[in-house]
Amino acid sequence: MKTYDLRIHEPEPGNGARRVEVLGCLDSHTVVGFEKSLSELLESSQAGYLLVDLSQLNYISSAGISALMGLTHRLRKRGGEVVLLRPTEKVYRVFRTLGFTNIFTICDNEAEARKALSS
Amino acid sequence: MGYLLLLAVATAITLGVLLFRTHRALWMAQYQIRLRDHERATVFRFLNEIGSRITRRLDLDQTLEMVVEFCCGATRAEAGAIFLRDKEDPEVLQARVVQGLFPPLHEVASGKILSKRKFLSDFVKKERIRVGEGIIGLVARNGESILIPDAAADSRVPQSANELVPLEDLILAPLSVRGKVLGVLVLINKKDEARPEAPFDEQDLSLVTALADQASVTLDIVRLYEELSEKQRLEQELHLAHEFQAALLPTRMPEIPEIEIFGTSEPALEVGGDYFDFIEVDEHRLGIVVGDVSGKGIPGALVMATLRATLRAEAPGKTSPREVLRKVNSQIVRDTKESVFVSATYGILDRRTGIFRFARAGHEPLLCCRAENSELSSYEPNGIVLGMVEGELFDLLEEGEVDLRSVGTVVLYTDGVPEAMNTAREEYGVARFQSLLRRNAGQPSQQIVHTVLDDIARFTQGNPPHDDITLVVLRWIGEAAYEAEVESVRAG
Repeated sequence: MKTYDLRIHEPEPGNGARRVEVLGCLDSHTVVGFEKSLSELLESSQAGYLLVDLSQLNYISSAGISALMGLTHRLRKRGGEVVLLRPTEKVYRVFRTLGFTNIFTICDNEAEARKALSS
Repeated sequence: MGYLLLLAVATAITLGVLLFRTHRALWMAQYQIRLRDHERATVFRFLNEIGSRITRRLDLDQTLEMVVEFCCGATRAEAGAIFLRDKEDPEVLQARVVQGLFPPLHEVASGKILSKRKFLSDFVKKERIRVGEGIIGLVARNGESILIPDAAADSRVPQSANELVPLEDLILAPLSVRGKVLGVLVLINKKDEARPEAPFDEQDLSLVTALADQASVTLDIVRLYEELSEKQRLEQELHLAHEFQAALLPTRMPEIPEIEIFGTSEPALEVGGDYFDFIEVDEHRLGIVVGDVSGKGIPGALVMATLRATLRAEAPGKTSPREVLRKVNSQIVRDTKESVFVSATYGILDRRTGIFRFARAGHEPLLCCRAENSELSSYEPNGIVLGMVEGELFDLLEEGEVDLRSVGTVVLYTDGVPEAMNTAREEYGVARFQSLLRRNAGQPSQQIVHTVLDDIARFTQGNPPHDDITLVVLRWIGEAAYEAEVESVRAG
């Protein structure tokens, strides 16, 4: 059984950006919980900027990528942005092959991510 | 002087004729394009309707009625019917759905029945037609469409049919899957208000054949679905999607003397969604596509059907794979939900030059290997999956080009190959795949495919595949074939 966890951090001072960490595996089973939690977070907080830490995500399926795409659409519509932080080499390779590196904002470290969010 | 004048007049006439011919040819070309656009748009509308119909309810009679109704509307036919093979005796066909005033299309011994209009439909439905018997049986046997623009002048149409319903023109198209004819679609009497006298023509035949082709796979699924109990239905839905998917795959490999082509797709139990196809672009070029739909089950299979229909409509005559994929993307963006996307590589192979031009819409890299030095190159031009974005972002799609004569072997595959997993949850991996290709670069295409599948089977140790595995291998044998021919001439 693949594991999955989502850690949601408190709003950051300043721009109110939220940081979440996705752990384990994001596939067609675990994506349901991921989408539900993120949807609740966005409805309750009105946060425009989201930093998604993928450094502990081992596997992402097409369903997981669709969920990240949906999230990106939703935040861009309200003038915000999603930054994907430190994806593992394997997850990054999946993004690159599918061409999602053209769509997602992906950063190697937090400083770069904060810069991307503030720009 | 008189001679010069004559020459000038002759030149003017020749130029005039040439201009007229060119203009007419251009007009004809534009007309053909408009017709093709119309046919394509109709097929898409049909796919959407049949898709939403079977998503709501899988019912054979309702689906058949929808098919006949749609085809009658699209071709302005007055009446139509679908004849299906009998479950118990597949050598016999029976009308399952009849719409409008539809006469029997075989010799009727007694004219009595035909004198009562209200019994006509029941009569047609009760008749049992043997495969090979009459015009319907002929289509069922040969699996080829028939156009009859003038029924009175065609000996294949029984004249008894005319007694009640005047039969003027008709189209018959086979409903076939994997080369097996399931039934026959018949449309009669075109009544186009704009052109009341015009009978069915080649364009109608082409449209009906395309619609019948799309309807067949859906009918196959619905028919299989109906045969299952409720419990089995839940268990079998994915299996049915596989059946549907399998029906969309080519049954024959293209035969080109200079190039050896072999492709296969092994379905997985769980996910699925792989697809490959060969499309004739023109007399020298062959379109080759390998794709992977992200959605699973029947919705995924329907997206695949859309992809197949769009590509088959867009590819002929176009030499830029990028342009073809741009058109296909627009259609898929319009037709699919936000969450479904398709990765695909589409390439055009020129058999004269061995050049393979391709564009990669978010698909696995293209691999090339040379037999002489086991050198392997991976090509990954930029490109985003189909169905997600349009405009500037999708237009980042780049084209790549390889020369089969110098690279030798080209391999297209889906992620099911490197991601095949063993019982210890380890992946087969790109490295092992590439190393195997290097060692087998000189082998025939089919041999390479089987060597890879065998190696994956060895690695996974019987662990059932969680994703489809698709491989298409192209190998240039032009020179070898030529040399063998020279050798045989010398020897003989």
